[in-house]
Amino acid sequence: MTDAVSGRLAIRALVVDDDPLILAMLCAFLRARGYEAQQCEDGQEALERVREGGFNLVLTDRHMPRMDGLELCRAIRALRTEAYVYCIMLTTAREESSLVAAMEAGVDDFVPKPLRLPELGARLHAAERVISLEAGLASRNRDLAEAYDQLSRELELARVLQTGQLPAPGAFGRIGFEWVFEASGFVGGDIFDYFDAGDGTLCFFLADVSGHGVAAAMMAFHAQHQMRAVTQQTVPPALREHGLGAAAVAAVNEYNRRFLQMKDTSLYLTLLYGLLDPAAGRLALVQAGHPPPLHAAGAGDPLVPVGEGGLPIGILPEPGYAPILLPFGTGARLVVYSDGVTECDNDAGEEFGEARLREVLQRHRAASLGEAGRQLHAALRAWHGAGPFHDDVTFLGVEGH
Amino acid sequence: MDERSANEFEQAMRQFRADFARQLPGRVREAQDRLAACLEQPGDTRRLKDLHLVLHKLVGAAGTFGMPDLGEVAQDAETLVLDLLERPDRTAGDFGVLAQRVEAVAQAANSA
Repeated sequence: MTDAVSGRLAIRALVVDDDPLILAMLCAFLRARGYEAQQCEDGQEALERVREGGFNLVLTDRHMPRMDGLELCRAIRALRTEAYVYCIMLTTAREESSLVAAMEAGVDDFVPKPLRLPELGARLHAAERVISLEAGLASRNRDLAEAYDQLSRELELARVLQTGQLPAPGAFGRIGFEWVFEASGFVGGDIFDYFDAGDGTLCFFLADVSGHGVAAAMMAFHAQHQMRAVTQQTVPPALREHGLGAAAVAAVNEYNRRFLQMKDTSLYLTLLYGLLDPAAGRLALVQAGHPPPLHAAGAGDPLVPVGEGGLPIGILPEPGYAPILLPFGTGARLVVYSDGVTECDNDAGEEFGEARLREVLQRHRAASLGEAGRQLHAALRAWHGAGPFHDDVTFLGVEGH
Repeated sequence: MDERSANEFEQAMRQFRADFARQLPGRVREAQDRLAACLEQPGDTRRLKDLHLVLHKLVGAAGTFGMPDLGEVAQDAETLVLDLLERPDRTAGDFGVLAQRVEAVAQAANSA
């Protein structure tokens, strides 16, 4: 509400008093100050006028028929008007003891009767400051709301793009892959992939970037792109010269080197990287700070955690990664998951934990990998309740058929 | 408030004072009529509240329009009305002092 000519905030005042002469005098005074002033003679009518909107100042008498000034101010506050309505009450000296009640009713300031116009002018000056500050705040809030809406739309688009980057569940010959992914917000910091790494091997990985939001999601995109590039460049020659485990370590070391070359980022990520030779029935894992995956060597074997941790990617230039070599024949199963699974909490703040994760997956060990993933997701949902997860939840399963 | 607006307002204020002076007999008469209505039914709170509103307006307007002495006398009367409102068992005999104050308001209005 700004005056189009002067650029100043326009004050639109409603004066409420049951004495027509006082009303006329106050309106004249306000108009002389450049306000737009309207008048009414009782609180009930004033409330209807305020409800219709447009006023940012109400100057009201305390004692009036039908609805008094206190009731009027209380009712104005209950309206929750879009713009703040500054309320000044005209009071007599006798009423000073009830000022606290008036303030509780929503009165912002008081002007004693009989009216002393210099004092009224000073009170109005204070009102102008508050109204101006409130209008500025409201304007900034509108700008923030617009920015938030735009950011939300863009984050939603990013989420769609991120989900579109994820691989379709499927099989490479005898090896099947299944996954469950639910981002904590619009976009997440978890990313995973599986692909043909050349020379008869398959590569898969699950990475979890520290933090959430746009930066983490962009880093996750970057990780997905880099992991494919690093694997294609590093794994085939390393395989031929040093074997499966050394090839996996070479790929992760190269990715760590490239990650550290990025400047001005405080992000890091945990990674579980796997190279699988289906023909030989062998699996090499490199664990970079990621939760230990669960491995079952054959059809009847239980799932057991493997690995001891390792440093996350992006901490040290020479992190000293070592391969974990495992058998992986027909009926073997590997489950990789992000910490959003084990740290998923319930209403009491208790985490789902590794023991429940193993119990659910072991209970569905005989079911298909996809069904095991769905059961885990259902168990997490039941544990957490209906609200969004606080962290990305990712389950990536690999199985030999 | 720029000088022109101030001058215009001062001119309007003179008119408001004159209007108040012209209305004063009617306002005093209204207070006397309301008092008479209260004396007919002293226990009727509605009538007493009506008297209070008339005196309250007189207090605010008299001081505002340059008659502070009248405002003070009217305020004494208003205070007595408020005291009576807190006594639900009031009788006509309790209105004696208030009647004197309303008469004082009339005298102050005549001499203003």
